Amino acid sequence: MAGKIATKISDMVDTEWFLALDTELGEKTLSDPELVKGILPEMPDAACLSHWLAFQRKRATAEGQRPLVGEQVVFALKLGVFLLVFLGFICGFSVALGLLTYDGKTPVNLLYALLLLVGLPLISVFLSLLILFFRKKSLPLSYRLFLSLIIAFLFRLLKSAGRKIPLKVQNLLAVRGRQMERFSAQYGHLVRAFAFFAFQAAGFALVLGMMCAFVLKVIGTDLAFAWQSTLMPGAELVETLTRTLSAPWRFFLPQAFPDPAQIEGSRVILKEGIGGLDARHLTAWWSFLLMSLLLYGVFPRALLALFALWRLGERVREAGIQDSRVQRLGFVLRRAALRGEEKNRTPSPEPPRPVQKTPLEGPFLEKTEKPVPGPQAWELWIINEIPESLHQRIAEKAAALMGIEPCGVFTVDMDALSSMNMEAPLTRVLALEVFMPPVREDLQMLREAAVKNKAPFWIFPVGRPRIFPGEEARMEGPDPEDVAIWSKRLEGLQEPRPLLHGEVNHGR
Amino acid sequence: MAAEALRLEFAVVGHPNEGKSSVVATLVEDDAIRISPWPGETRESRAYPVRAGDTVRLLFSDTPGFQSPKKTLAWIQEHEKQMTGRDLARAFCAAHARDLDFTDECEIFSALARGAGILYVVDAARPVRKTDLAEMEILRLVGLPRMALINPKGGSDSVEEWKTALRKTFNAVHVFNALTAGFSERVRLLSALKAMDPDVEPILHPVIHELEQDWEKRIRLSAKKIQDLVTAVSTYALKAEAVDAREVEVLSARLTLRWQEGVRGLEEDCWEQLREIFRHRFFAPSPDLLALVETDLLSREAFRVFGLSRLQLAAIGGGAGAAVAAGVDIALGGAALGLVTAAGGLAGAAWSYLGTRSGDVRRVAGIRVSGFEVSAGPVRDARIPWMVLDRSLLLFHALVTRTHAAREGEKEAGQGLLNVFDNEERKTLAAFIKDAAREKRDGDLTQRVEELLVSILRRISLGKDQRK
Repeated sequence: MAGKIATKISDMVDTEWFLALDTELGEKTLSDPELVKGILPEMPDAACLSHWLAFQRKRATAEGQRPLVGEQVVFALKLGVFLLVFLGFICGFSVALGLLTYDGKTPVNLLYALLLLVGLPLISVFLSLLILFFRKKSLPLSYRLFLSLIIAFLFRLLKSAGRKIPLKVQNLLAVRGRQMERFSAQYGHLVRAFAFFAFQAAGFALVLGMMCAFVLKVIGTDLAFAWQSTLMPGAELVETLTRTLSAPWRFFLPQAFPDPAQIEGSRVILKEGIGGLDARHLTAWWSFLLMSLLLYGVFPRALLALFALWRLGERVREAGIQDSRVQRLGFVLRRAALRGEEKNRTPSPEPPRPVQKTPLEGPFLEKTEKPVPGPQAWELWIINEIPESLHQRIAEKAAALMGIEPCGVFTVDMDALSSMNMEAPLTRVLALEVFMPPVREDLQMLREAAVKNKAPFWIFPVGRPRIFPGEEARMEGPDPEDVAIWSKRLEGLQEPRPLLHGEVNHGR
Repeated sequence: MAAEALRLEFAVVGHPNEGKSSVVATLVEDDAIRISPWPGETRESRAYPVRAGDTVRLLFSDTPGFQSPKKTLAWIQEHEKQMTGRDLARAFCAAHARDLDFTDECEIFSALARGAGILYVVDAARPVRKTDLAEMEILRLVGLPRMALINPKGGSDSVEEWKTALRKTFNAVHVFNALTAGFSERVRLLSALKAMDPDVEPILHPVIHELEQDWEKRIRLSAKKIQDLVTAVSTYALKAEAVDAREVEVLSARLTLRWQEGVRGLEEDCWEQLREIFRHRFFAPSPDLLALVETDLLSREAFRVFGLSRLQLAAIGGGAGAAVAAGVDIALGGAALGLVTAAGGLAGAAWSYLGTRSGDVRRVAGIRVSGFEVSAGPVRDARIPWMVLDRSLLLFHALVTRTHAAREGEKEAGQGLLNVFDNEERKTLAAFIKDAAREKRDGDLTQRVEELLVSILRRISLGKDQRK
């Protein structure tokens, strides 16, 4: 039943966009004969979603010449990455140009150059790896304390603000918050992977910019490199450092490894300047620096950028839309297809057949017959507080709403809902009185049931029973205000959550 | 008994959206309490005082609805053998202080931990369900004095079913519609609270007496304000001098307007005071009522709706004329065969009838020109004070019959209320208005009219159509 079709970012964006549009416009938009034409009653949610998306795209393209939202978002993302890469390149290029200057008296400080061309890329690679591997590790104690203080302060602010905001608005905010949470849960890892890739690409562009500037300077100008320090370290220390750094290429590229004479020969002594130093020693450092930049800057950065690109691709492939909206979409489309089929088959509708009722309670629920597998198969569960004289009517109404008759009708106890047998992957429709607003306890039980049920878990709202002396109970349509209250509260639950049939009107 | 000892607290509890806040708002006469058709508006327990004068006598705590009744019941059942009452409530709060599932229950139990009596509110429009039974059982096991209130806010389809269910658990069951309950219903409810606990009665009895006295005081104060308004309108006059003859016409028109605005100002001051007396801080009359009471006093519509008709006034005038002329007839020893009485009656009726010709606004406002001096008022048309009185009575009726829980306008604006007066009362008032217009002070008549207005307001507060 999982609705997982999107393998491209543009697919995901378009799906979200059109789902939001359809939610605003209501379910009537889904009964377009052209849309329903390609739907089969046995199609799973993913196939329905795929068909629906293709149809929406086709219609949107036909209606206006503007590109689809998905394409626009992808373009914007590409542009963002390009700008970051460009910025990175320019930064690297400028930094290297700024560093590599020689006026005939002051050579490029070798230690500076190493710090910038090797140290900086290495530090950034190290940080990237930290983020990659230790993102979910617990934070330091001081940071956690600071964070808990901030959270406590924000919570207090929120509480005092909450007293002033009407509950209706609060519920709406909770729904919006839940939508954000859903978005974060669904696409958070994708957004993070994209951000990681964008920054790795920018990082690669930065070192590439540095390298380009370095090569350009080496080729086009006269550069001299020397080393000096107030601490006056011995040439041995610098030699150790260079030997360590050049270890990977020392044996197959010895010319890029500075020998002790070169190290000693490029040491600047205070007051003496570089007048007494051999020009050969001063210029020979470029090959070492270039190799350092390549190996410690460009190479790891390129690897990281490639890894980030692969990771992004994986995340995109893994991402998909699996929630109650897709379940509702699949249900509405399949129902429309079913109704269409019936219309074609029988020109005059048959009177509704009485539904066989199997009133069994408790967790030892057994079905009288094997249900027809498929997304359209469903069971009706009626809460046992609803007067029994209404059950038949509810079953008829629910059958009309679902498009086909249920595999079975059962009366259930609300308290035993979560302990019911839900092993068979069937859609369950729970007929529930909605004239009382849902309390936390009810919502928890309903969510538990929705989590346990592998297929969609629907709520069929039932209004107040009207009982007149000497007459059987009559069913009243649910009050729209009550339905709105239930709908908002259910929307505030985490996915997977129960779906509410908002179009129920029992009439009299 | 010390004033502090006379304080009682009742916690209004129940399922969400049953009208608990409405009940509290009506009982404590506080229209600032948040009430919403959306459930869960109340998120914390808050005590509201009922005052007699300036003294707090009762506290009604508005609480959130039960959110986890079944789990709460399970806990209570587990612990009720070790403790009961306040201790049980306190233990519940302590055990669940940090549990988000029981935030609302902790708020409810915090009020019970103070030893508050329980007022369990249910909506009679819906049937009894298992959740309700769980809530009732919780309250029974807590063991504090309790009473059930059936609030037929959305209809009364299931009142009998509720009564049957509630009587099993509660000491007393009372039907109380928070959206329509007047003062007498409120007092009846407070009297019914005595049945909750024998210890409550000696405290509640003087409190109810004080509240009744306070209500009487408010009625008297309102009568005084309305009487003062009628006097002020009857004597309200303005004067101005024009620069030249051409200016006189313009000034007359301007003075007519100013006179109207002045009368309107007097009315609004009085209405504001009435609102304060009945603690309606956010009272906004329905558009219909507003249109009615704010109709231009000199408009045709106002003349049609308010006050007495010309014929009614002629009848009063005829009666007064005949009474005066009858004295002459008696003095003549009946020689005039009652003709003087008849003539007096006729003259009085004609004077009243012709003196109330409508249409000329300036005449009604009593515009007089003497040279360059223009004066407006006192009012010449006898209908105006009656109309002002009528409008005030209409507003008074809206204030006393509209509960502090009402958040919508009145369903019907209604018409004038002068039909609650009988002929004698009308005559007394007519004499008072006449004297007031002449700025004649008759202490006895003033006293009689005040008593008369008190009696009328009392009747109106009991119901709009209450005749003597």
